[in-house]
Amino acid sequence: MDYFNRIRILDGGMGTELVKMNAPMGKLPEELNITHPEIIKAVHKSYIDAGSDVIYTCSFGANRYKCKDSNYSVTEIVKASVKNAREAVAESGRDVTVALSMGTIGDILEPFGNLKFDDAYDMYKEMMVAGAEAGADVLVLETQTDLLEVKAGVLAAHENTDLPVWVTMTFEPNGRTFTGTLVESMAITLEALGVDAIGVNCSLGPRELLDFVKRMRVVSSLPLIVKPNAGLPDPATGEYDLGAEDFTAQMKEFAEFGVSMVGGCCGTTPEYIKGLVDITKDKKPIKPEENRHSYLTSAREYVDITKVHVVGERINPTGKKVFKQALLDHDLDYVKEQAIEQVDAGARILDVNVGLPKIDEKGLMVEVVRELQSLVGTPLQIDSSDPKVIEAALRVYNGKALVNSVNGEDKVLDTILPIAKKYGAAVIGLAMNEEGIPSEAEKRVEIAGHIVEKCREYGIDTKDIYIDCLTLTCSVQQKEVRETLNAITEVKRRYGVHTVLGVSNISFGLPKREYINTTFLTMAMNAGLDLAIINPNNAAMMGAVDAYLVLDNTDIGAGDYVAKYAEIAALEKEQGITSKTVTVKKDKTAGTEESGGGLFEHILKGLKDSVAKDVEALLETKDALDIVNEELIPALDRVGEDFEKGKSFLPQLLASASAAEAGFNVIKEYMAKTKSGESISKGEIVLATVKGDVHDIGKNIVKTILENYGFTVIDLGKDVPPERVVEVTRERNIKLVGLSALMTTTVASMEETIRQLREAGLDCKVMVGGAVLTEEFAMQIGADYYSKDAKQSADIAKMIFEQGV
Amino acid sequence: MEVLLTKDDESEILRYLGYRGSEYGDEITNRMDKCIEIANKIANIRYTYKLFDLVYQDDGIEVVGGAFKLTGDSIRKHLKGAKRAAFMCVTLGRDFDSEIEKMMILDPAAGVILNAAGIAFVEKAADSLQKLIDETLSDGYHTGVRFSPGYGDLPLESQSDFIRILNAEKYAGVRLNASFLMSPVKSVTAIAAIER
Repeated sequence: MDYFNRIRILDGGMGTELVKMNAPMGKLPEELNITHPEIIKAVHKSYIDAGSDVIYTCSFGANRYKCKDSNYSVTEIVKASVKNAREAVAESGRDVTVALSMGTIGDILEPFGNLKFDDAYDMYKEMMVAGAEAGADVLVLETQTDLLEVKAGVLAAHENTDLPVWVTMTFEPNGRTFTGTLVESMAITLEALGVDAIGVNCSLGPRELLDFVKRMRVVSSLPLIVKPNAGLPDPATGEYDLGAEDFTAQMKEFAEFGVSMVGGCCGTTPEYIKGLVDITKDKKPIKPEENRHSYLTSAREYVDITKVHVVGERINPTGKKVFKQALLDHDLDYVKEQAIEQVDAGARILDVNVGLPKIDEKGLMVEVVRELQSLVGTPLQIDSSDPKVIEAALRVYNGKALVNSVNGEDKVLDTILPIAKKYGAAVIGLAMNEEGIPSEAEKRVEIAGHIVEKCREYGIDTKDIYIDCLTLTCSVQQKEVRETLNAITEVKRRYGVHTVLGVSNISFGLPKREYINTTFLTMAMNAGLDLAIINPNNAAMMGAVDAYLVLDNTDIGAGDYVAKYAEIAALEKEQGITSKTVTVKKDKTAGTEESGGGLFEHILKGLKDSVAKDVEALLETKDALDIVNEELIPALDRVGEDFEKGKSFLPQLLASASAAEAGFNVIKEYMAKTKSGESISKGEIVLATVKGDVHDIGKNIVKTILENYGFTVIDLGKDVPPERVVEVTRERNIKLVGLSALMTTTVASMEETIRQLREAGLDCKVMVGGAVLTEEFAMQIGADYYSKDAKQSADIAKMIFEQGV
Repeated sequence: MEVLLTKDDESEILRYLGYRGSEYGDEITNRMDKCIEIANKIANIRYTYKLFDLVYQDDGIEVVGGAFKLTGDSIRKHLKGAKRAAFMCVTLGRDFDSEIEKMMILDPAAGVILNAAGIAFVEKAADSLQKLIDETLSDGYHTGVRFSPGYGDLPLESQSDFIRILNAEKYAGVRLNASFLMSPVKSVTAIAAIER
C-alpha cells in the first residue's frame, strides 16, 4: 500500500452506532458478530457509504482475556468479525480495506501486573492468525496504552502473518498514555520495529491531538493515522462535545499537515466521516524528509544523540565483589539502587551486564531489564557476549535499545545484526576483529567500515551504528592514545556513524587516575565522541562532560551548567564550614571506643551518614564481627523493642534499620577487601510475595528489617509461582521461607506454595504474613509461624538460626 | 477536579502508618513533608463515574444497563433501598506506584510514608469526586457513604463489573489482574447510594 499517494478515510465509532441501532449490548459486544451479524454489517455499510476507504472490524475486545466468559471462542468471534466486514465490502462494490481491530488485552503486564509478555504475545497471535485466515487486509492495534503490550502484538504479527501492522495509541493531555508511554518514545520504538503506520486514536478531540501528531513527525518518517473522539466527553452524560461540523473543521489541520489516514473514534458517526471526505478531497499526505538523528528510547524517555551523553557503566559485575554477590543472591534491589543512583547522577543511558559464570544470565537479564524499565525512564544498553541473552533482553525491552556489542568478526556480525534489526535496536561496533585491536587508527577505521557494510546488508541504518574505537592503557601503549582519538574523528567523517567509548581503562597502573581519565575523556569528546561510558557517580568525570558542553557552545548560555552547579557550589561552601563542626562532634561521641554510645544513638535516630562514619571509625579499633554483634544488633534490638511497646512506629523502625544498614554496608565492604570468604551473614532466608499478588510493600519492609539483623535475604519478588519458591529453597538449602499475601484471593496461592514445599520434602520452616492473615488462619494453611509484623519476622528468624529451633 | 494533599492530611497519613502517639523528631517530619510534596507532584488523578438505577431482587441488586447484580447482605444493608447509585473509580496513576517502589529501595522509611500518603490521597480524591457528583444532582439528592468490592460479603470479584461498566480502563487507565487487584495500585472503586 502506498501510504503517501492519497489521504485514506477510516471509519468512525462502532459502539455509538450499535447503541443507535438498539443492538443488545451484553458484557461483550463483539459477540454480536455471531448473534446479530446483520447489525454489524449495517454499521460497516453506513461507513462505506459515507466514504470510508478502510473499515475496522468489530473485534476490539475479542481476546482470550476478555472473552473468558463467552460462549464463543476467540477464533470464532474474530473470524465472524472479518466475515461481516468482508461481506459489507463485497456488497458495496467498492475497494475498501478491512482492518482487524485489536484493543488492549485488559490484563496488566509484569511487573505492574502478572500478565507475562509471552502470554500477551499469544493472545494477540491467536486473534491475528484467525483474522489473517478470515481475510483481513491489515492488523491494527488501537487505543493502546502500554508500549510493551504493543510490542508483544507487533512481534506476534511479524512472526505469524505477512499483513501490514498499524498502531494507534491513546494519550492524555500531558502527552503520555496512562501507563506513561511518551509520544516520541512510541514513534521511535515502533518505527524501529518495522511497523507500517502509527498514530493516535480515541483519547481526546482533534484539536488536542494535533500537537502529538506533529511530535511524532519530528522523530519518525512513518505514515501517520489520526482517529480522534468527537471532542471531550461530558463526565455526567458521556456525550461528546463536538458536532460533525466542528469535528471536520478541526480535522482540516491534519489534512494540511500531511497525515496519511483520518477517521473518527468514540462519538463519531457516518456524518462525521462524510465531512472528512470533503476536507481531504484536494489534499495529499506529505512524505517527510530523511531524518538523520539517532534516537534511543525507553517507553518514558528518549535521547536524541546530537551531543555528548553519559552511559552509566555501574551495572556490571566485572571486578566488583559486592555486585557479584548481589547477583548470586538475586538481590535485584541492589541492582535497582545502582540504576537510580546513576540516573540521579546524570546518566542518560544505562549499560546492563549481568554475566557471571554459573548464573542463568538469560533469565536474570530479562528480569533485570523488566524491573529497571519499570523503575527508571533511562534507555538501556544491553551488554552481553551471548546472542541468546541479547535476543531475550531485546524481546522484552520496552523501547529502542543499544546492543553492546558486535565487532568486526563476520561470525559475530552475522549472528547479532539480524537480532538487532528484528527488534529495532541500535548497535555498538568495536573496532577490532579476530586478530585483536590494531594499533593504528587507519586499521580500526577499516574494521569499522566492514561493520558499517555488514549493517547495511542487514538493513540497519548507519546513524544507528555506534563505533567504539577502543581505549588502550596509556601506561602500556602510550603512543596509541592518539590513534584512538584519530579513529573517532575519522570513522565519523568517513561513514557518518556515531561513536562510543569506555574511558577508564586509559589510566590503569597510574596514580591519581582521575586526572588521566578526565583529560582523556575531554580529548575524546573533542575528537567527536557521542556516548561516554563512565561512572556517573564520579563528579569530576560528569564535570568534564558538563564543562565540555559549555566550551563546545552546545550548552548555550551555560544554562544547564549553571542550573546544575550553582547550587552545588553554594552548598559546598556552606558544608565546608559545617563539616568541620560535624567532625569535632564525631570525635567526641563515636570516638569513645569502649561504649560506642554515639553509634547506638545514631541508629535509634535513623541517622544514616553518621552511622556509616561511626562504623568506619570503630573499624580502626574493633573487630568487624564484634561491631555487628556488640553494636549494631543490640541497637536494632532496642529499636525493635521500642516499636513493640508503641514507643515508635513503622517509619522510625525503618529509618533505624536503614541507618544500621549503612553500618552493615561499611562492614561488608571492609570484609570484602580484607577477609575474603568470611561472612557476616547469619543465615539465608527466602522471601516471596505469592503468585497472583503484586502488592509487595509488606514483604519489602520485612526484607529491610531481616537484612539489618544480618540475615541474607533471597528476595524472589512478587507474583512468585510456588515452583520457583521450591526450586530456590532446594538449590540453596534454605531453612526459612517467608511468604506474604495481601488479599483473600491470593492466600490460596500461599497455601499452595506451602503445600508444594512440604510435598518436596524440604527441611525448611515457613513463616507467613499479610493483611488478611491471622495466627489461626496461618496454621490452617500449614505455616509454621505467623508473623504479625516485620519485627516479629526478625524474632522468628533469630529463633530459628541462633537457637536452632 | 483539583485535589492536593496538605499538612492537614498528616493525621490521616499517620493513621495509615499505625501511629500510636509516640514521639518523633525531624527524621520523620522531614520525610513527611517531602512525601507530601512528592505526592502532589507525581499524582496524575484520573476518575470516572456513572449513575445507575437499581432494582432489588431476591438473588441480588440488579444494576440496570450494567448487565450484572450486586450480591450479598452487606451491600443491601448499606444501600438502604436506594433506587439509584453512583459508581465511581479514581486513581493516582502509575507513576505513583513506581515512585513508592523507588522510595522503598532508597529510603524505606520514606517509602512507607509515601505509601500511606497515597492511600490518604486517593481517598481524599474519592471524597472530592463525590462532591463533584453531588453538584450534578438536584432535588436535595446527594451521594452516601462509599462501599467497595471486597467490603463485607460483596465479592471482590465484582470489581471486574465495576471496572467494565465504568469503562475505567479507557477513562482512568485502571485495569484488573486475574486476582482482581487494580493497577495502578493507588485506585479506588466504589458505589455510593444516591439519597436525600
